[in-house]
Amino acid sequence: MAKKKYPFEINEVIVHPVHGIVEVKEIKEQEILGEIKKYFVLKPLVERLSEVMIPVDRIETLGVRKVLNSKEIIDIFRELQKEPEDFGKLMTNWGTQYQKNLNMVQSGDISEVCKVLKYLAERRKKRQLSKTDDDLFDKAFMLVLSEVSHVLDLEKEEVRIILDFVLDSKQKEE
Amino acid sequence: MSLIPLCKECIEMDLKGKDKNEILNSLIELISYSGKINDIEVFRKAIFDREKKITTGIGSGIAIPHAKSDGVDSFSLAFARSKAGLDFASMDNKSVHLFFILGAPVDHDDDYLKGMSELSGLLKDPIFRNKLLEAKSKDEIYNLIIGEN
Repeated sequence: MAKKKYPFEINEVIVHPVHGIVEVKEIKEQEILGEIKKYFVLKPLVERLSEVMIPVDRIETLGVRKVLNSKEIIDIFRELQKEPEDFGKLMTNWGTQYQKNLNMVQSGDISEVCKVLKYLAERRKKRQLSKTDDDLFDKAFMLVLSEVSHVLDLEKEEVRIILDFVLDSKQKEE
Repeated sequence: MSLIPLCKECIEMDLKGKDKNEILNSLIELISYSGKINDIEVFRKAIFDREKKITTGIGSGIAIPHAKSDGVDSFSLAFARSKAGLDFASMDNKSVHLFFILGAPVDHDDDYLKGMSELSGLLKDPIFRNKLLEAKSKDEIYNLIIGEN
């Protein structure tokens, strides 16, 4: 019988939309709420969590994906160099805007994460962000930093300095 | 106190170079005047290897080639300028005017990263970048970079 093919392999490093870079530790069956299902067991490599479990049949719809390649990483930096979209003006209600930003950051789509990162970086220069927006900025920053650092095999601090420059120097040129 | 280890011998007011390789080689020669590069070929390989990962042309007319290498004795830095701008395959596809090359020993972490952070912090400011571009002498550039802190 042919071995079942999974979208990700054991020991593969992939991206979780909330926890960033994670390693696939195993695929195991487990009963949760009376239902036996197969789960990917993921070990976050940045956040200090022991493990995260995701049902095999939902892993792709939840935004879990393969890491970017080097060319796609360069595209991220090119994207971050561009002017931020002013989507903040579209919504006057802070809660609605925050929820939209949160959904974008947790979508697993790096270009959506970058849009929020640029937008919040821009706003942060004009006035202090609220605690929740500040936390969201840190989250988006961590997601981008950890993937760039992993893919390019660069020290996190080095990537932090470059990202910080790219986000800040652009803003100050206005 | 500034962590940026610049010396006046490591400043070039009018950098030339027809391509990225030529520019990097000129910068490597310039930083060797610091007296802190013990093996220029080992350091050259480290700089080119780092550059292959992703360009150190980080936009806004700035490039900061850097590497930790056994070819370096202690944290060192050189600065070069091109008023006309040079093609360095930067992230923003624009010409680079201000080049900083950094080198440090492999086991050296703290000052190197703090120095790079301090430098990038200064370079975020377009007024500071413009002062570097318009400076008339090496002394002026030295004082701008070291005296800014």
